[in-house]
Amino acid sequence: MTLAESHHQLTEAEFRSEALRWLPNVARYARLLTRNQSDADDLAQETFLRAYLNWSTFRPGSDCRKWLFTICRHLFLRGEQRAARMVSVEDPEADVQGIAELYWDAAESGLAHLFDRIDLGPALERGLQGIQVEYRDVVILVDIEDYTYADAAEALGLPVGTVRSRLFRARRLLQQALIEHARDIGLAKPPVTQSGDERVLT
Amino acid sequence: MTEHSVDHIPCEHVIRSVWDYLDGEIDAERKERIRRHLELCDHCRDQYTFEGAFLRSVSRLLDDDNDAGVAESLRRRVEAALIEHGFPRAT
Repeated sequence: MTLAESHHQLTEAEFRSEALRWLPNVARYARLLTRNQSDADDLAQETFLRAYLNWSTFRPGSDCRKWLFTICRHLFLRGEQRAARMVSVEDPEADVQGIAELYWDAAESGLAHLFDRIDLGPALERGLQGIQVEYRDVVILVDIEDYTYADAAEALGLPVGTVRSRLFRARRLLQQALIEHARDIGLAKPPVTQSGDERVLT
Repeated sequence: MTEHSVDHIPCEHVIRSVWDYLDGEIDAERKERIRRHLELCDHCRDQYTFEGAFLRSVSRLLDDDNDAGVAESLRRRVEAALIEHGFPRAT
């Protein structure tokens, strides 16, 4: 075996141990992005193919999972051509008021402990798949994959402030979906009429 | 929320920082001021508890590995695609 062949095999062995081990994570990530198992499998396969063909650009010691997610996200966005169509109106004041109102609404409906009480997995997944991809992305990276805001910003090519505001909005949208789900399955108490004056944040 | 300010931080500011606090994306001084506020303000504490439970439920979303069969069939499919592009078969 030549030195070049030996090096080649080492690289492929590294791909197996470093990259392929993240297949379940990439598959789940792809499913959340595509909302469809068949498309998700296609995307996951394409991700690993692209990763393999570009394995020489992977920096040893860096986070391979993040590298794969980045490839996956880029392939998805390119396929859907969604990046160019992203329209986000972010209003931090409305979001602050919004999460306070959501909490009040939940508390008044007897849902203050909603997130501890039942398995929300399926509803959460549906909710996540129902929000715009730019919001979904930050939730997946920060809440599920445990990225810091800075790491998510780097992965998405966004300022940290945009990650923060999108996260705020995304979580509000998800909570809204979960509270609606709780109402649909009869977990909520009937709403109590209350003066709106008390619902003003100081 | 009623007019409220505890430890010189209005509730609005505490709620505004809820995600930064729960995500650990906040400086130590502000974190401590919010922590003191939460000790004294039932309403903000209840909302932080609510939001924290929400974050935990989201973070658990992909914990259940119920798709092991799917993952295995996908693994075979991915490996087959890689082998077509010169990747060596597993030994």
